[in-house]
Parts: sequence; C-alpha cells; structure tokens
Amino acid sequence: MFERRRLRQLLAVFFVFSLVASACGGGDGDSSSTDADPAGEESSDTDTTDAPVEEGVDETADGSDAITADDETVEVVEGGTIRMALQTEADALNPTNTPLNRAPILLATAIFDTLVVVGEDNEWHNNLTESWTPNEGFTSWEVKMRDGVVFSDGNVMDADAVIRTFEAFLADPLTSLVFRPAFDPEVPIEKIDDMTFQLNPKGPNAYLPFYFAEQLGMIGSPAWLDARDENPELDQMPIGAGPYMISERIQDQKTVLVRNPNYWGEPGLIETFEFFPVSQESARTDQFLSGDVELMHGTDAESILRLRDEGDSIIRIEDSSGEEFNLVMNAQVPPFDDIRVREAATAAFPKEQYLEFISEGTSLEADSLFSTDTLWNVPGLEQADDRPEVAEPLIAAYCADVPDQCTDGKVNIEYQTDGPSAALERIATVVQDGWEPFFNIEVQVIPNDIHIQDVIFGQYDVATWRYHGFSDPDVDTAFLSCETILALSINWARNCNEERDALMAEQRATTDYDARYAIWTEIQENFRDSFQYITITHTNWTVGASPSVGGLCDAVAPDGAEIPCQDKGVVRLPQLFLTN
Amino acid sequence: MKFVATRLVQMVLVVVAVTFLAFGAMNFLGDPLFNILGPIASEDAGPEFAEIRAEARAEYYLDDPFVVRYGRWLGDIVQGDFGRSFKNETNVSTDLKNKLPITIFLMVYAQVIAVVISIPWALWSASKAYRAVDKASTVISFSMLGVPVFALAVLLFWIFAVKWQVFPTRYDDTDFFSKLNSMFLAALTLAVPLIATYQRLLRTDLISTLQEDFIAVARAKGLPQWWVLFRHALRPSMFSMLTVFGIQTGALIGGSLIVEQQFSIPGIGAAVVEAIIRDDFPVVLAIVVIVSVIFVVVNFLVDLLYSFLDPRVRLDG
Repeated sequence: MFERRRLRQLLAVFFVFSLVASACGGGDGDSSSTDADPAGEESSDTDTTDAPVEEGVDETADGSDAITADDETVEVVEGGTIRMALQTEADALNPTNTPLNRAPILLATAIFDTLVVVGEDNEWHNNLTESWTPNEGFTSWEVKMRDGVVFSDGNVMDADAVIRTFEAFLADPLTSLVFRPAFDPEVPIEKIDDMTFQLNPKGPNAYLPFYFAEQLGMIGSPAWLDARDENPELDQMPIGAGPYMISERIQDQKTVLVRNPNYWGEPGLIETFEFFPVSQESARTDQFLSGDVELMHGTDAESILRLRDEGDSIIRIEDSSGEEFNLVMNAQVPPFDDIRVREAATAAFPKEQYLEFISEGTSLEADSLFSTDTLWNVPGLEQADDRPEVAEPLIAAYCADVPDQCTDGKVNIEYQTDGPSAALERIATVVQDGWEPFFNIEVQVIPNDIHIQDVIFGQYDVATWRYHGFSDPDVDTAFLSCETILALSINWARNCNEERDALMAEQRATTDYDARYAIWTEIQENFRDSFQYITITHTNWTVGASPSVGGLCDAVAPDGAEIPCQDKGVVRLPQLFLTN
Repeated sequence: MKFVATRLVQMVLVVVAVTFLAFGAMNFLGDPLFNILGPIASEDAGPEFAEIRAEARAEYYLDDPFVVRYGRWLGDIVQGDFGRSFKNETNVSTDLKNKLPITIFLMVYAQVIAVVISIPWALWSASKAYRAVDKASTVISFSMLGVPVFALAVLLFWIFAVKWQVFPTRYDDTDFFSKLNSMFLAALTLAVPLIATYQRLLRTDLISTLQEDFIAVARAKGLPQWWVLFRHALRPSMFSMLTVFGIQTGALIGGSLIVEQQFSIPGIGAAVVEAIIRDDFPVVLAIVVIVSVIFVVVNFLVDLLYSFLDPRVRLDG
C-alpha cells in the first residue's frame, strides 16, 4: 500500500520522536518519581503533600474497598466515568505506523499494555511476558510470553502475534527509522515455539527489554493488523490486550475507553474513561479547575502555576525528569557547522533570564541530557551558557575566517520556532536579547508541521526542540548516532562523532552500573563539548487530578513492583478509581 | 418555478466556479506533489523515495491534465466521496460527518438567539423611535457591533464558564440539553454582532414602515400597538434583515472558527485551520465545497422568503 500517510506523519509529527523513543527502550518510570527530590517544588516529585495519601486497601464489611488516606477512610465507588483533558490528539492509534506522543501513549498503554513495564526502581519488569533470557554476550534474548493473554477481540497473544506486530514496526518507513538500528538487519526476530521468540539486537545489548516498555512493546491483534492493511481507518480503532478497549472515537472530539472483558489481569476499577483533546493549555486548565474533567496533564508554566495555586484542593503530580527543552543547532551547514559559532551561541545564551521570565520556577534548569534526580546525572557537569564574554572572540575569529556568513561583525542566522505561540515568541525575545551582540537573527515563526519537517530535513540553522530524557539512557543513543544521519535524520543536530558512537556501543554491553555511569559521563562531556544543543530546561510534566480520583500512585507490575504515578504525563488507568 | 429553476442553475454554477477556483489554487499554488508528500517530493530527497513519488503521482493522477483531474474529483464529490485525508488516511466524509453538524448547530443556534432577541428589541426600539430609550438602545447596539468576536469570546468564557461556572468549559453532547447548555456561550458570542446588526436594520425599516398609510389605517381601527407592530409592520420591514441574514452566513462560518477554538468545540473550525496548515487538500476542498453549498442554499432560501414576506414581490417576474 502506498505509504503516503506515514510520510506525512513523518513530516507532521516527527517532533514526537522524542516520545516515540521512549518505546525504544524507554519505559515509564526510569526517570520517575522514585528519584524525586521531595523538598523541591520544581523537582520531579510526586506531590503527595497536595494529594490524599493512599496507604492501603482494606476490605470493608460490605465488600467495598476502602482506601486509608491519612486518618480518613475513603470509599471506592465501583465503576463510574473519569474524564480527562489531553494535551494532543493522535493522528491515529496504531503504534506500528504512528509516532505516539505522550497523550496517545497514555491511551495506547491502556489499550495495548506493554511487554514490560519500568518500575520505580528503574528496572524493567515482565508484564505481557513471562521471562526474558539473554545469552551470555547479550547478542540475543529469548522471550517467553505470559500464558492466558488474549486480545480484546478474543485472539490469543502468542509468539506469532508478537512477530506480526514487530514486523509491522520494522516494515514501516517511519517507525522503523527509530527501531531498526537497534536490531540485527537480517534476522531481528525469530520464533522458538508458540509462546517463545528470540530477539537479536544489532550488537551486544543488555538493555533490550527497555525497548519494549512503551510503543515497541505494544502488541496489536494480528486480525486487526491484517484488517488495517485493507482499511487504514482501523488505525483509529486499535485492538490490543490492555485493560481497556475503545468503544468510541471521534477524532479531535473524544475517545471513550471501556473495560476489556477479556483482560488477563485485574480488571480496571473505572468502567469508562472519556478523553478530550484540548490543545490550548489554558483551556485544559480551565476545564479541569471548573470541574468539567477530573484529570488533565500539561507542561505550560502558567497552567502549572495555576494548579500550584490550588494547593490541597486538587491532586497535583509533577515530573521534571524527562524531556529536555533545547535549541538544536544544525552542524551540517554554515554557520553552525563551525564549532566556534555553536560554542559562541551557547556561551551567549541567557539562561538565567530564560529561567526567570519563561520557566517562572516551574521547570528545572538543564545542563545535560539527564535531570539532577536521575541515575545518570553528572554533578558539576555544566553547560557554558550565560558567558557572553566567551562568545565575543569566537565570533570575531569566525567572521574573520568566513566573512560571507557575517554582516557588521555578527553572524547571520535564522532562528526557527513553531507557532504562532505567545510562549515561544517570548522565548525568541529572550534568546534575541542574549544573542543580539553577536548574531544577526532572523526569527522564523512557522507552523509546527513545517518546523518539524525542516529540522528532519536539516533545513534550519537553529531551532527550538524538545526531546531526550528517556528512562534508560540507551534510548537516547539513536538520536545521537552517526548512523541515523540520513536524508531524513533523527540525529536532529546532524552531528556525527565516532568516538561518542563507540562509547554508546560500549555502555550498551555492560551491566555494571559504575562502569556504565563512567561511560555516560564521557558521553555527556562529549555531548556538551560538541555544542550541538543548548539544553535549557527539563520539561515539567504536571498531572492534575480531582480529589475524587484515587489510585494515581497505586499502579504495580505483575511482580508487585511499584510503577511511578506518572511518567512524562502518562498516567496508568486500571488502578484509578473514584471516591464518593 | 422558472425563478426556482434559474436560481438552482445559478447555484450549481456558483458552486462549480468556487470549486474550480479552489481546486485550481490547490494545484497551481506550488507543486501538488510537494503538497502531498512534502520535501520527499523533490528528486533531491534521494532515489529511495522514487517509488513513493511514482505511487503518489499515480494515485492522484498528477500526470493527467488539470481539467481531467478536476472533473474526476468533482465526479467523486457529487457521489459524496471527498477522498482521504493526507493526515491519516481517514475518510474525509466520515470526519466531516462528525464535525460539520456541530458547526451547523452552532451557527443555527447563534442565528436563533440573534433573531429571538433582535426582533423584539427592534420592535420596541422603533415604537419608541428618537426618544431617549431608543437612543440608549442605539448606543448599546453599536457597542455590541464594536466588540470583536475573539475578545467577546474570551470575556464571556472567563466570566460565565471559568469564574462563575454557570456554563461548562467544554463541549458536551451527552444529550440535547447538554449540547444547548455547553454551546450557549459560543452561540451567544457569535450572536452578539448579529443581534446588533439585525436590530439596527429592522428598527430603521420599521420606522419607515410605521409611516405608511396602512399602518395609519390599522391604528385608526383602534388596534393595539403590539398588534400593529407584529401583524402589520414587521413582515414588510424584514427585507433588509433577511438579506443580511443570508449574507451573514458566510461571516458566521468565519466567526465560528475562532469561537470553536475558544470554547473547545470540535466543529470544522479546528479542522479547517489544521488542514490549511498541513496542506491537507482533500479536507480543505471538502470544506470549501460544503461552505459554498451552505452559503448559496441559505441565500436561495432568503430569496424565496422575499415573496412570502411581500406577495407583491413576484419571483417569476
């Protein structure tokens, strides 16, 4: 079938590859609230002080569940409907051919479940699988599926079903861009028996299960995938093996999920979830605070401040552990192909001003790929921003060497951002303030689709961008690798560094945390010193919930491991309930 | 009948002309293949996309002459096939079937509010013509005309939905009442300038009508004022208002794009904006067709109403 749609999506939704990449090894919780700094309001935390504390479930005399919250006893209302305002709408909900960003990931996780889940302990845990067994060198993994799992259409989930989905991923020109580099190009997957298959990574990979904690771990019913090949509209009505299934979907209006009667695990407590895409941050917050929806998520500073203002009257869970907001510089074309210009731009970037006027205390300052509360953060590793004195000689030297790229002693650049957006235009103003002495800046505010398209095709100088911050650091490697610099590049900065590639391969093969941390320290130093990104903040994903919603932090893996309350705006649904 | 037949032919010609222009614009403003595929449409994108380019050219008949393509497309839409969205290959007809009724409902709702408020107001105002209350009402109506729709939308939303929470902040189609309730502020936003417009026009025409001899006769018969106004003065005074009613249909569609965004109403407003940004031509063209059809049909009905309002107007003449 003609693959136009996938290519349109590529141009239109590539921005969310940061999020797709979560499926590459990501997982819900590596960077979760386990690592929270409970003292810091701006940190990645589960703000339990703002939430009813849920400490245990008891069986009451009348058979209903009671949740103890501090000294209160809250009665669970069986069934009911929870309404949630989502940040974005998905073009489709087929994980094999659509890059899913956070809102669709939330829906898709409930519809499909995933092969593994990532716990608060930053480890992967079996979910739809029973076991993952690597060979000695981590060059292959034997995966056994859990017995008794069926899709909501009644089909059995077995090795064939997984292979069918996996091949659909690799066959897709869009999703395969991210996933294919991780697997053996000849035989990426092979069937062992009805319930067992073998995965063959491209090289030694001790972290392969992480790849199946999000999008790549979502297995669709083979019958649905076959039918979808004939009728692309079925991309809107996916069939998985998750706790919920779609009962109604009107794109751009609402998606309704109901309990999956064939679910293999504990059935969801809530009968129906209604999701409404509300792209305007303020409108989403208005709807939530007015009581027209019970749940919301978002990243906008103003909305977060409004939620904070509500204090104890709502439940608020913040997570700043993932997704960095950056300026990405195109290292393949002048003037940013010259490292002096990239270093000067970094040095002249007014981060303090940004944090004061744009973040307004809602998000953490970023100096590298990893938030301060993650396992991979390197204390003291700082990006050389807010140092305009460093920029001056660099720009002077560059303009002396490459006068064609300069006017009046300043480098001519185009600063690209998407919009129209008041917030992004404010950011442009702040950036201009810092860069004006060294750069002649032409600001381009263009529609999001075109912005994404330009970055993918390398048709930009410097652009606003948001990604990285995945649960396992190996996930980030696809976006930093030389191998992914193609005509359509997911190495956004188009910056190839073979030394870094070697380090990334090395960290993938070791299971020793200390050794891996040391390698990642080198990678981060390399990343910093190559000046391909100006990392600005760790995006604060905030979930707001009505006090009537319980169970937000009660999700557990089948082995009992705790799952974070939220991961970059994604909340798990089956354990949620309403109180009276 | 002759009038009706003539107007029907004219309507068809208008729609054909509009669609021809829109289809032409979509095809001639830039490379149609680029509009479908984006940068990979260029040979520079590399040979790995050659097959996709060839498939797209074949699927969209891009090697055929423009007129042939237009004819094929027109033939499809006459049969209700608007094609598939570039965005996600969903059927455009299905998508519009979900969104268009919401926008039409909003427009009708706004018109009903406007008519229900403006007519009594105009009657009252005309009956008090040039007195202080009429002058005050003139100030009010001009104020209503002067407030931009986007500002009014924000204001009404903030006061009645966010602050006082009298109305919901999101669209709710659970039942008819919920729908009416959740769309009221949006409809009122659209209705406010219409109310003022209709009130001004109708008031002016009523004042003129009230000078007519047949009104004097009615009054001489001792008929009550309200009866004179409603039964005798209103109908012959509605020509201007009715004409504007038809013309305002187009403006309402434009206004609804803004209002739908503000009130999170999932009508065609957001779809239009997104389709234009994404160069999703099947969607854009479908909306152009539908909007133009609505516009000409409404104006056609307005023409028919002229003879109903005043039998002296002979449509066949």
